[in-house]
Amino acid sequence: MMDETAMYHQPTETTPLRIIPNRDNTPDGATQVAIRQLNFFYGKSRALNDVSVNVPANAVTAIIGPSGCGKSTLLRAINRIYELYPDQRAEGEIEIDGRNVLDRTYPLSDLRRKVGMVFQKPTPFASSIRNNVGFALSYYERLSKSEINDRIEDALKQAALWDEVKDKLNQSALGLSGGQQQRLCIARTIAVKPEILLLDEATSALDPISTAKIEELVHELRETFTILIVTHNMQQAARVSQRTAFFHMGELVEFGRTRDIFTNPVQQRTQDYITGRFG
Amino acid sequence: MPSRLLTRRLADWLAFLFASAATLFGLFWLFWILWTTLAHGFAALNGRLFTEMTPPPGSEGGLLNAFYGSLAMILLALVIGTPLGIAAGTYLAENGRYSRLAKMVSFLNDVLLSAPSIVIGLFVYELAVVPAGRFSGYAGALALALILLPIVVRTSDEALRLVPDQMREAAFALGIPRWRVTSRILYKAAATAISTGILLGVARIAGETAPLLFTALGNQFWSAQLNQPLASVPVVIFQYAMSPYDEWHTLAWAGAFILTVFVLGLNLAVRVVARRGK
Repeated sequence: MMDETAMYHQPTETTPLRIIPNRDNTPDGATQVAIRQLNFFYGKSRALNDVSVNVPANAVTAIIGPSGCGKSTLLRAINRIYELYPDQRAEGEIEIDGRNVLDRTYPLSDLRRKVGMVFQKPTPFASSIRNNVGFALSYYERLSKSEINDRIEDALKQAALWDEVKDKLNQSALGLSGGQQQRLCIARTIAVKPEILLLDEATSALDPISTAKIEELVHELRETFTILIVTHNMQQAARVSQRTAFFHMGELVEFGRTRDIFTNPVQQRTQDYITGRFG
Repeated sequence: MPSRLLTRRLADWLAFLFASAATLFGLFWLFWILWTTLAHGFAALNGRLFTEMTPPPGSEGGLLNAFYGSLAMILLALVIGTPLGIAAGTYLAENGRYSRLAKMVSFLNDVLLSAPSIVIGLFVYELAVVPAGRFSGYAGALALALILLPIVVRTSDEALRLVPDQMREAAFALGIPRWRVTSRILYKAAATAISTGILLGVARIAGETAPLLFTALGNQFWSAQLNQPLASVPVVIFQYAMSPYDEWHTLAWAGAFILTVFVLGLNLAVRVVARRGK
């Protein structure tokens, strides 16, 4: 490993990226997710170091930073998906709706109903399109058949997929294109009406057109949901988010309005990263 | 450099030659076995093979009771071994994935997997035949189930492990409890591999003779009752092939031919299932 400071200030031959952030100027909303002194461990190695941040409601918060900086780890802590692996653990507090969700007594299914997650690679279940969207829905709510169909339609419409699949709801989801599969995963997640959406590099496996569709979708979904999006594509962060958090080596280096982070960062490390000097 | 190109071409050609020779070598034995059983058993390969019982020495007959016995015991072994095996495989791959107990169970399962089948026959003899006071189809089925079980455990364990963690995470991220994730999503994703394992397990137990010798014993006559000694194809082949009678030899060959074709058919079915799953 290189010396940390040397890494930041090394001049590079690459042209600095020109990133034009969106002009969005939404005022500070209420805090939806309050993260306090979060530490995260993979076995003995620490991946997050004392992270504290207030994620605003009904806005898109982008989490950026070089590989291995802990940005995905943060998302995985919020819905406690890390608990699938016995050697991973989180310390600290993540408060949603006034309760610490990291508390062992907080029921996992309540948390994950409230906090949906979409992953890097599309993960359709080996079943029909209808079953993919209805799967979690029929677990959480006692609905009649027509109610379920309505909810499936709503979710697919919200995910901007309805027009493409309405005539083949009973066909296998595996037959859809990658971009469609990813929108299906979004539909599946929002079908249970969560409050928060976690998108973990949800477009990095997709082609530019599918990526654009999902970015557009994120823009619309933010009216309804609080969205956290992890991305290694800084242009994407600048395009879709109102707030940006820059992580480096497990630390939250800077958090603020996306516009400020990209045009006028306070920290030297942020400046170096967004201009493409490292990472 | 032409000399390097020449070396590569030569290596390629040699590898192709060896691979083709190895394939032909394997196929050669398979066809020889099929041919031999067919040639020797041809005289008995007629309708009576499937409609008449095993005959007394000196007369002609068929293998109906043996086919029935084999089929009944294989089915019962499947009924016992498959659910248990899938459940244990699920424990190893899912619920107990990180536990020490699962590692131990997995090791013991490997031991059972490689246990000589005659040992399993003797074990079931002690367990089921001695207390009941007689040989029976049930005991035979139990012995076959004990051979099938570790195969199903191992293949369902591996099939579930092949389901990518991302799929698991995506399902759990919806807040669905483990049993439902397993039964609705993981089994579906692993169905092809699990059924492949079961079919291969059936192919394996269909030809087992040793575990049936001390358990089902065999039966010269028609008997549909599983609590009585029961005939089976491999045991009849064994007994008839060892006998001094020509008619019995022919029947043994015919039985061997049918058994080989059955196992071959199962293996082909596995390929079809596996291809459909993709």
